[in-house]
Amino acid sequence: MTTDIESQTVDLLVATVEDDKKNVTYRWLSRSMGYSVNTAKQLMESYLSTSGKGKVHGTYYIMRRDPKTQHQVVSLVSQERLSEIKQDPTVVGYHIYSLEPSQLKDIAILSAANLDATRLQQGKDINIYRTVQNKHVVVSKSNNRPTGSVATSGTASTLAGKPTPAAKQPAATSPAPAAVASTPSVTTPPAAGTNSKTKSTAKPSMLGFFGKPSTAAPKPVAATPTLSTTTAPSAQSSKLNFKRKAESISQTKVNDRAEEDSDEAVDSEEERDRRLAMSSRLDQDQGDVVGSGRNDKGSLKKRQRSSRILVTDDDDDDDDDVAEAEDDESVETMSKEARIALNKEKEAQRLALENMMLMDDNHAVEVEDEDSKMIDIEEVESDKQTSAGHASVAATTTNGDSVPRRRRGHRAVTKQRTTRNARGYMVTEDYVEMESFSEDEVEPVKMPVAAPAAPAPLAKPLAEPAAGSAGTGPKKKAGGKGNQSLLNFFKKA
Amino acid sequence: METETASMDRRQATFDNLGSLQEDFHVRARDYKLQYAHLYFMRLMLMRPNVLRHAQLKWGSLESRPKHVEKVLDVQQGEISYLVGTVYMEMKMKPNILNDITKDHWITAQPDRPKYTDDDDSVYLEDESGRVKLTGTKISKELFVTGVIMGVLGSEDVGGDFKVVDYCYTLPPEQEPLHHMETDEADKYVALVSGLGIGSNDFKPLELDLLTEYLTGELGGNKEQTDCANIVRVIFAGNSLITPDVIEDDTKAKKYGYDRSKFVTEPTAIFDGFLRDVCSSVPVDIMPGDCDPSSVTMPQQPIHQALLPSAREYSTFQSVTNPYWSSIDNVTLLGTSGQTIDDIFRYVKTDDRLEMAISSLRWGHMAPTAPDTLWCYPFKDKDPFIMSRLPHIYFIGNQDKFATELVIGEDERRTRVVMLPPFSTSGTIALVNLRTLECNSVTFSTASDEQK
Repeated sequence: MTTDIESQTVDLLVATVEDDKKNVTYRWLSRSMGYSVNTAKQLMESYLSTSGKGKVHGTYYIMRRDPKTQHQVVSLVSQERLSEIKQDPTVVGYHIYSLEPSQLKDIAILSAANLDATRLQQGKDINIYRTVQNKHVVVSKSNNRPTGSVATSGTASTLAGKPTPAAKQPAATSPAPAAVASTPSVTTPPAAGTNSKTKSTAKPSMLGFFGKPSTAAPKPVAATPTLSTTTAPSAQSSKLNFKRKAESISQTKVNDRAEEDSDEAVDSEEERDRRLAMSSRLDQDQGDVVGSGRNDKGSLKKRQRSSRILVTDDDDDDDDDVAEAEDDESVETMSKEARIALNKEKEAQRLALENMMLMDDNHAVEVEDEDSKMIDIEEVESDKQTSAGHASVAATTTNGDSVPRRRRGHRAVTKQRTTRNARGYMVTEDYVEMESFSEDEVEPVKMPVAAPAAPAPLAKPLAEPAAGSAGTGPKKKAGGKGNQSLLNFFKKA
Repeated sequence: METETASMDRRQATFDNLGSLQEDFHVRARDYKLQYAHLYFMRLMLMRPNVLRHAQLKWGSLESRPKHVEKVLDVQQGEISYLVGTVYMEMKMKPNILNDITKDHWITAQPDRPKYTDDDDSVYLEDESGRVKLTGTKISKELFVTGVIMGVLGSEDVGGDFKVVDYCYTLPPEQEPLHHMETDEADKYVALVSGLGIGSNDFKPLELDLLTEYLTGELGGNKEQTDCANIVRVIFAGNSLITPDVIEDDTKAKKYGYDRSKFVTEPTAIFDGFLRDVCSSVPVDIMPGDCDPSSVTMPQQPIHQALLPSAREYSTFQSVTNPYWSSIDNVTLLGTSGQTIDDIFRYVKTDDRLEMAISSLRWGHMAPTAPDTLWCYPFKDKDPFIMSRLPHIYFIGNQDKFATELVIGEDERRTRVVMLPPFSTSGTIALVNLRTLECNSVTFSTASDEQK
C-alpha cells in the first residue's frame, strides 16, 4: 500500500484514539478508509509498534486450539499478554483487534465501534472490506422467496433468474395499490361520511391514504360499469358524483367539469402516483385546496381527469372544452335570500346524509353505498333543483322531452373554506357560490318504479334531478331517511 | 502474523431441500378440530411394519419359536410371543389435563417440574386394541418415553402383565451413502449455532460481533480466513430472539391484554443487522426455537420474513421450520431447536442428553413425546416426525453443553450427533466436516479474566 494511505491512516488513528479518546477496531478502520480488513490490521499493527507505542493500548484477538480435542477458542486479550501469547504453543493465530486510549476495563464497549463500522459500510459493496467473497449472493429488494423451497446455490443461473421476476414485481405492485385502493374506497366513503361533521380533517386523511381521487375513480368502476358507455354529460355528472363521493365529508362541489379536456394520453399509473401524492397533499390542507380551488384548478383538473380516465375510457368529452371556459362564474346572480334558502336546504340534506350514514351497520356498506351514491345524486339534483329554482337557469326542465339538449345556467354550489380565524383556530365554513353548468339532458325521468337499469339512471343523474324532482326535494326529506334514499335510487331509473 | 490482501472465494455446496421431507413440516391449513388419536394411529401404522420385520429378524429364529401376536389383548398366558405397539408411560407427575380440571379451582397450579419421573411409574404397551403393562428387569433399566413404537418379546404372567425378556425398535432407515471423491480441495464445513439469545440478559454484543467476523472471514490471519472460506453454510438452531424481561412499572395503571407500548424492537433490529452481515457472505438457515416468534406447536413454522427486512433481501437467507431436514452436498442433516430432547429429558431419570438424542435415533422418531407432553399440531394422515431417512448429521440446539458423538450403525451407517449449547451463555458453535463428519467446536470468549 502506498505511504499515502499509511499516513492518512496514522492521522486518522491519532485523531480518533489519541485526541478524541475513542476506541477503534480494525473493522471500523477498514470501513472508514475503504480498504480491506487485512490492510487495516497491518496498518494498525504498524502504528501501534511505532508512533502509537505507549500512547495507545491494543487488544489482540487470539485463537487457541486444543491439540487433543481440536476445539478452538477465540478470545480477546490485552497487549500486555502478547509476549506470553507468542510463546504459547496452543495459540494458532492472533492479530490486533482494536486500539484504545487506555486499557479497557470492560471490552464489551468495543461493540460500539463495530456498530459504527456497520453504519459506515451501508450502501457500499461489502467486498471492498472482505477477503472471503461470495459471488453468488444476490441482493434484491423484493426477494420474495418462499421459505423451504428447493434451491441449489452455486448455480448462478437460478439466482440470476430471481432478479428478473423481482424486477417485474415493482411494476406489478403499482397497479396493485390502485386495485387495493378501489376495494377499500367503496367502504371508506360511507365510513367517512359518519365522521363528516366531527372529523372533517382527520377523515380525509384516511381516505387520502387510499387516494382520494382514486376513491373517486374506482367508485365508478365498481358501481357503474356502464358508465363507460355513457355520453359526455353523464360522464361529467358522474364525475361530479364521485368527486362528491370522495369529499362527501367536506361537501365540496368543486367544479370537476373543469378537467374536461380529453387528454387521454395521460399515463394512468403515473397519474395514479401523482394523484396519490396530491391527495396526500390534499389531506394536509384539504380545505385550503378546496378553498383555493380556483388557484389550484389545474391540479384538480388533472386529478379529476385521471379519475375520469380510469372510469370512462372511451368517453368523448367534446363539450368539455366548452364547459371549461365557464369555470369561473360568480355567485352574484343569486339573490341573498335565495342563497340562505339554499344553504338551509343544503344543511337539511347534509343531515339526512348523515342519518343515512349512521344506519344499521350490517348492511351499512352496501346500503350506504347506494345511499351515498344516492345522496350525491340527490344533492346534485337538489342543487340542480335549487339552481333551477333560484338561478336563472336557461335549462328547460323538460319532462316529456326526449330531445337531448344542452342545459345551461348557473347553479349554487356549496364549497368549503378552511381558514385560521383571529384566535388561531382553524375554522371550516361553507359558502355558496354560483357556478355555471352546461349539460346535456338526455332521457326524461319520471318516477322510476323499475330500477332495472340502475347503472343507466346513474348515467344520467344530473340531467334528471331538475327534471323530475323539482317538487320532490322536500318530499324526499319528508319521506323518511330510508325511503328517501330508496326513492332516489328508483327515481333515476 | 501475515495478513495478505488477496481475496478468495467462499466455497459453494449444492443444497437440496429434500422436498417432501421438509414439506411435511409446513402446516398450511390449520385445522384444530382433529383429535390426536389420528397422529398416534398413523405413527403405529407407518412404523409397525419396520418394527415387526426387525422383531422377526431378531427373534424369529429363537428356539422357543415365539409367535407374533397381532393384538395386544390376544396375548395368551404362558406363551412366549412378541408384540408391537406404542409405549405409554404412566407417570403420576406428568401434567394431566383431567387432574387440572377436577382439582379445586383455588388451588394454584403445580410448578413446572424438571422431571416427571417417579418411583412408581409404569410402562404400558398399547395398540389399537388395548394396553398391557410391561414388567421385567429390562424395563427398569432402559429409558422409555411415550410414543415410541416398540416390539417386545416375553410372556404374560399371572397378573396379566407382560414380562419382557427383550425388546427392539425399528429397523434403521435408509441412509444416503456418502461417497466422496478424493480431491485435493480442503474439506467443507457447515457451522451450527444455536441460542444466540439476542434480547436476553446473557447476550453479549461483542461476542456476536466476533461471531460475525468469524463467519464472514474478517477475523483471523490468512490461515483462518482460508478456513472460513470452507464454511459453506450456517444454520441457526433456534432461540435467536428472546423477549427481554420488562420491568413492571407499578405506578402505571394495569393494562389487561397485550400492552403494545412495552414491545422492545431492538432485539429484532440487532438480529436483522447481524443476519445482514452474515448473509452477505454465507448461506444461512434460521430455525425457530421455543423463544422465537413462531408457532408454539411443533413443527414450528418458519419465522416470518417480515421481521427481518434487510436480511430477507439476500438470496442466501432462508427461514426454515423446526425440525429441519436438509441436504448439503448429499450430506443429510436433521436438526431441531431442542424442544424434542428437552421433553424427553423430563421423562427419564438420567441427565445425559446426548444419550437421549442417540436413543431418538434408535427409535427412529425425533419427537416421540408429541403430542403427549410436547405440543404438536394434530396431523391427520401423516406423522412428519418419523425419521424415514437416517441423517448424517443430527443436531439439537439449546442443550446444556456441547457434546458430540459419531454413532455407527450397521451397513456403515454413520451419524454425527451434535448437541449445541446456547451461544449466549457459552459462546460456542460447532463446525462439522462434511466429508469426514468430524465435529469441532469454536468458542468465542470475551470473559474479562483474559484481561489483566
